[in-house]
Amino acid sequence: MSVKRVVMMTGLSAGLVGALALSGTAHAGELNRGALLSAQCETCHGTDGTGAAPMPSINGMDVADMVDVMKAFASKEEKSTMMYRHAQGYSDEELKAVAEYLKGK
Amino acid sequence: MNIHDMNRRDFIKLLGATGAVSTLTACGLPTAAMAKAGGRVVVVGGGFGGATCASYLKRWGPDLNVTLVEKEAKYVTCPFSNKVIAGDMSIAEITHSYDGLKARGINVINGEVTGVDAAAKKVSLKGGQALSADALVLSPGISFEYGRVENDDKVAESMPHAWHAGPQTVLLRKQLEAMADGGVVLIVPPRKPFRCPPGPYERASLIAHYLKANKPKSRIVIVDSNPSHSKQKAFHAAWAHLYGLGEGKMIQWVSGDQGGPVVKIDPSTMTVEKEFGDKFKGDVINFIPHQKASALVMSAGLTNKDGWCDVDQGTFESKVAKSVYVLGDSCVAGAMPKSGHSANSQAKNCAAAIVAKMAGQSQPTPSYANTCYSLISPDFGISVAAVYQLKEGAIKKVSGGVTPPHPGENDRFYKNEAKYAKGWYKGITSDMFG
Repeated sequence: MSVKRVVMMTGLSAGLVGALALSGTAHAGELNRGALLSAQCETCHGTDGTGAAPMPSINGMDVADMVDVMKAFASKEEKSTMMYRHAQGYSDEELKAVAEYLKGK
Repeated sequence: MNIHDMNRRDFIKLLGATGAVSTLTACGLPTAAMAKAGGRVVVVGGGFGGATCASYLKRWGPDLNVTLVEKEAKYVTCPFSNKVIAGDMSIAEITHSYDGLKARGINVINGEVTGVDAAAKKVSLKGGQALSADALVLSPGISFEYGRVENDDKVAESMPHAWHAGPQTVLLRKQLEAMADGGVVLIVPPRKPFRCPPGPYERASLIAHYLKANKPKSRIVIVDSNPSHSKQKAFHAAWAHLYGLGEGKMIQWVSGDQGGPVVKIDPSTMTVEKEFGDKFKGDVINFIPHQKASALVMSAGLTNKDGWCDVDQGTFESKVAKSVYVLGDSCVAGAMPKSGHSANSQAKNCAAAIVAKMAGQSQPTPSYANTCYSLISPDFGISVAAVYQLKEGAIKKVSGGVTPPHPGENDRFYKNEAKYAKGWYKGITSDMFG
């Protein structure tokens, strides 16, 4: 759980949240292409990609490893029930943006 | 709470948030990556579109003042409500609170919106409150379009629709429990387009699962007004595999091409009648009325001639009202079906558009996805999924498809789909409400 979320849950002020976020997460409020693409993954894999069993966690992975497995899902070299249908919809550049964003989660 | 109190409190919140931004900037975080969006956003409707949008607005624009207005104190999901109807889950298990969103700093108001002034970006609440916003997000779902089928406005108790999850779900469950073995269940889907295109057919599946175990002489007839339906090959192959499909079998599908659309229902005789006179008698009848965008957006003047809302499909801003956004079932979203997952996906693009606009940044390129599992039994699932992109102003499918219709050859596949359906539910509800 991020520092930001702990602070939000304990009800501290927005000012404190901002100050504490400096030492906790650099992602609070971050919005870019990787964040928006990853948000599509997070629907099933949980916010920040932390997993929703049996959906596995997808955060913190090595960038090259994630791009490799997604491309293998797309080619069906890696067997899946669902992931090939999603993986085929993204370019290499988009997969890299997702992997780079979720690596920091 | 009156509106003056609310404004003062919100203003203080905004001051606090502004202070936080200054601190961050002064300490040298990469400001280009920080959305310094300020302003007030009011989101109407706390379902798959609205709850997700409120959450991601706050996530990407921590300085935004976000208010979510929802009529119900707790939200009962339509997804997985067919499991409640089949007796496989309790209504409590698909009921969610807004505490998680409150903890994220979202001002959640349990109230009913009675009017929308789109030009002024202002909503009126029952009891006289009014909320003004810099951006207004409407995710109010569907309303029933009565008058398309004779008597369709008189049967909510005798032929429960169960198309808004909650008391209707429980009522349909009770009627199925009370039905004798050997009874006939009629499911009457609405004409397309409607919320959750595979929903009536998943419902037939899970009711069949209940009947097979408890009342095996009973039958289900789907009296359809449509000539085809969602995931048709996969559903029919799975029905034939698990329950029997066809006249006299546990599940019979009567296409809209057979006798035309349904034109009349009669609660006194418990019959459903098609255009060319074919009549079907049921012991339990699930009549799902025709649908259009919520009456709220219709009365606000935001709907087109077909009863749905035209939006910019990249931002979800209404085509007829600036800074008013319409999400989910009420809007026209290109190739995306009217599903909870679609609404969740649209909400994230809408949140990104609003945060970027208010921060004076450019909106990231939109990206959309849909995943829709249907359970044929609690241990046997099928699905449809797609990824979409914005092309020439319209949402177009770029990948995806339906589960291959070959049950019996690789049942492990279908078992895994059922397991992942549960994961999907856990994931999306935590994404919305967590």
